[in-house]
Amino acid sequence: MEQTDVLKQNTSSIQGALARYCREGAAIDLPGITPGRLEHYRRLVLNVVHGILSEAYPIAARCLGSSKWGELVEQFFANHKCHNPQVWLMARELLDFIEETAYHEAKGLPFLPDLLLMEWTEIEVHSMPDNTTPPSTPCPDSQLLSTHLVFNPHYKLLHLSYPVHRIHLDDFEPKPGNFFLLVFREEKSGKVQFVSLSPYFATLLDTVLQSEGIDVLGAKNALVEAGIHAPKSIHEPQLVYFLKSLQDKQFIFGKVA
Amino acid sequence: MDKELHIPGIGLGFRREMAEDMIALTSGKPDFIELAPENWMGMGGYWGKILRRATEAYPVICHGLSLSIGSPDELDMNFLRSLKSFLDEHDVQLYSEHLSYSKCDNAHLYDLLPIPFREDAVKHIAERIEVVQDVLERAMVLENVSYYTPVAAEMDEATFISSIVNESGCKLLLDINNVYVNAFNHQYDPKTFLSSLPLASVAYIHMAGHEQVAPDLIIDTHGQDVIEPVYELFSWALPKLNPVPVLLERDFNIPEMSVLVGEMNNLRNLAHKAWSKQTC
Ligand SMILES: [Fe+2]
Repeated sequence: MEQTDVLKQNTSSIQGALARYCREGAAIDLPGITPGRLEHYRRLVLNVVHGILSEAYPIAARCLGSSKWGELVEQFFANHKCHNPQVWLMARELLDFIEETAYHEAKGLPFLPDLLLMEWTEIEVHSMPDNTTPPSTPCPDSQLLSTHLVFNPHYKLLHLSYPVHRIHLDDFEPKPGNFFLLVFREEKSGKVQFVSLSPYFATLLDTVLQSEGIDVLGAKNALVEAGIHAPKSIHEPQLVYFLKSLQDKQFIFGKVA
Repeated sequence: MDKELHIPGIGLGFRREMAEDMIALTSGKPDFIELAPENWMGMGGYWGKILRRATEAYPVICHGLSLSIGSPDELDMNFLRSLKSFLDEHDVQLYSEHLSYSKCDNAHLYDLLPIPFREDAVKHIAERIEVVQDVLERAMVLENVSYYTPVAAEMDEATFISSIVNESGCKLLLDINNVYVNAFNHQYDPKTFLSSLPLASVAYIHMAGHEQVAPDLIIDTHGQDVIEPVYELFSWALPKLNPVPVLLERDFNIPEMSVLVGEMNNLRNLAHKAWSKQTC
């Protein structure tokens, strides 16, 4: 299975130079080239990358405008070595690039990583491999707190530092804070839903989802033991209302049948 | 596939944009579909369901994008193993790839770069074909790609392709449109080129449209209908080939399904004319 080194250094470095030209765009001189043709390779390569990233991140692309977005795409492709053989997963690497290089700080776009994360999560949840759950029946309100619930397995819980889920609103302000988003895939349609959660509900939900076989009251008590108390405004009726709304949205499938 | 006509069938490239329409086709259906495994591997949810429906409705051939057989980089063994699971899961008998490279210095480019037509590249690729065949437990079928400039070539394209086939024993995916595009872009005769290929090794054929962007340059876009001279080249080549599956590729600017069905019928008629004589 070992590959031997039959490829000569000269051939390999010519191949490397062409690939680098496509990624970085600095003029090169390669032997035996038809004049004016290399440019098409760079153009075609960048077209693919632009296409994939603009489709994956339509809000970020619109928000930055074509010139800043184009610059980001080119910087990313020139400086980041895309390692994923699946081009649609390459889009995730833009986020890695931003975080590794602190690009958002240099460009005065502090909310950019959160915006990209939110948009990427939509793709990720939409496409994540199918998982099965035990059979369930709708859970009556009176049992929501004290029953083992069956949750939709196709979800991500995001903790964001900027309210990027409100970026489409006129009064959007990139003010830092703690924002939580539940992102899940509707079982039947495959569509992705976003639900904004308060910090306490997000923590409680996370505890239930992370601990096997725990009910919501059990999770609430576990949080109390860890020193996390429900805000004064949240009592059992509010908890029931929260869980009922998640059941209505089909994030909670019900109780174990 | 098409037993009555003694041809292995006419297929259509399976793209997201036309997925629902292809699955819903009741007449003029392709005999098989071709898909890029990289675009479907590990996919659940809506697209996972679409893939399941498509693979239930049609036999599947796979045409890869990211193997990068001509790369100086080492083969990505993890990727190869995932690919094998995908091919096994969907009972894919024929897996093909491009005779090009799309990854270098550990960075994917997601497009097809031209390999220098050189003896050391031939040997390098032949060795890698063996590894890929061992891992996938399938014969490799490699496609002649469109290229817009040769790079540091020490032999011509036909010699390069033939040497790889001879050295490795791999099969050829003959893309007739790519032959036409390259002959136009590099000013050689497509029939002479075709005649100098090891045609007995052709296991699969691609047909597609292209776009002329300058008086002396065609780009292989798969975004237009197949043009008459490409049909002519196809008809000319068929009697020299064994009956093999033929695929219509359409990636962009996708027309009504009826247009694609019409193009598939054209291919079917031409294949029937050429091959029913051979095999009946
Ligand atoms: Fe092709």
